[in-house]
Amino acid sequence: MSHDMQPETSAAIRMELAALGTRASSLQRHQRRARVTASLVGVAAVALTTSAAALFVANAPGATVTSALGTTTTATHTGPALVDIGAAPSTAGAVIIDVTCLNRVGVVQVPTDDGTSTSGIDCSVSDSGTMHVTDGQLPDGGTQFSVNASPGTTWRATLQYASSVTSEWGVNAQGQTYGIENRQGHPDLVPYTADNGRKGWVLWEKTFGADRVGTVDVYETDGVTVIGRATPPVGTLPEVPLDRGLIDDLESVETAVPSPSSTP
Amino acid sequence: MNDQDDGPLWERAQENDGEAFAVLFDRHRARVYRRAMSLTDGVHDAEDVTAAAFYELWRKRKTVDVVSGSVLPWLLVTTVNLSRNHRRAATRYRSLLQRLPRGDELIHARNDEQMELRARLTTSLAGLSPADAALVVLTSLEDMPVWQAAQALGVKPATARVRLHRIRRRLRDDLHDLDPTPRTSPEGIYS
Repeated sequence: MSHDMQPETSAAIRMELAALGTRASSLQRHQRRARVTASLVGVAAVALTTSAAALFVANAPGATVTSALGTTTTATHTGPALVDIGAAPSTAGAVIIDVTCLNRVGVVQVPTDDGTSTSGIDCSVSDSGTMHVTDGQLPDGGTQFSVNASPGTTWRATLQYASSVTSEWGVNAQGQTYGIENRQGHPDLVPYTADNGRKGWVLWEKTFGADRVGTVDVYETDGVTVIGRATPPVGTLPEVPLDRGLIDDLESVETAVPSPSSTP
Repeated sequence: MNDQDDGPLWERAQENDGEAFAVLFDRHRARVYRRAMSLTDGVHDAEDVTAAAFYELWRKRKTVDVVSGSVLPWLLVTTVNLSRNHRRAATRYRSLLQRLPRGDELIHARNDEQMELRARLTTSLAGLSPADAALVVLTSLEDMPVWQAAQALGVKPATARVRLHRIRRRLRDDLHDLDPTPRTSPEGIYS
């Protein structure tokens, strides 16, 4: 066979690889997400929002604040379903979703951000688990929100449109940005707690962007004043030990096929 | 099997240099893709496996074994393993792979003979352990000397030779026509 890959597909993969080591790298963002996912496996609710953002103060620079808009829609289904949540208000930027598992089967997933990521809950470990997602993807032009699920999973979801405002990162006198990671990528300085317990900021590149992390300085937002030292956990690129059962559950997740009668 | 030394590039890549990974992709993409095409059900699966192999090269860059100055052996082993369990590979990189631009599957439609060969190859490989399957692919289809394949798989050459001898007897009838030319290399498997 003399075939080579199609040029546009090849170019897309090449671009993804070339972006490694830069803030534009989806692969690195994806890897961090995967790590968070793995660390949550086995916990009743595997609820992921925008990576580390949820772990830090809600009003940090770069944080996304969502405010509920209008009415809620509640639906109960078994398996994947499209839920009609009406037309999006003009100010809507996200969908807030609360999912509750109603039986101990499979996985429920909802699309988040611009649809390139998902949040999921593993119902197989708890028949009453709940997941709260604030960055659900807006319906693509229509009114139907797609809840993906394993065929036998019974779930209840309450959905509501929300405004979504992401604040700007701060910039210090050195020109370094500081704040929390969001869908734009990461700033130069991100929050971290020093070994002495004080909360401050560390250089992303030396902490999360590095493969061999030693002890790093924890600064004030000025990026100069050192308030402590921190020793981030080693092994920043671990083999993600995905559980075989969870993989089977994840692979069983189906997407509802749009049709006029698909939302009873 | 590779006349270019990846060494200097690989040093940069290990430091998370994206451009180095892009050049490695340019260098080895065609071989990886061809191998993926021979082991998967279609163009899109082969694209997924190829992308995942290079993403894995990045993810595991601290533990990748460079053989004779080349990362290609590692990529090919990974391609064989990913092809054997393509859905699992896709699970890890699902959101990234979903965004790949896709062409028309039909333009790469293969002829009946190729389809049959692929089906027989994958059926045969499915009956082997991952390491044995990689050993067969590297030595019989990629022309890699046994010692290099052994290094890529992290086993001693002697162990690889014993394994190959055992596998050869098992697969000779299945796969001999994939590689009908008798090998004269001192460590060739098909003779």
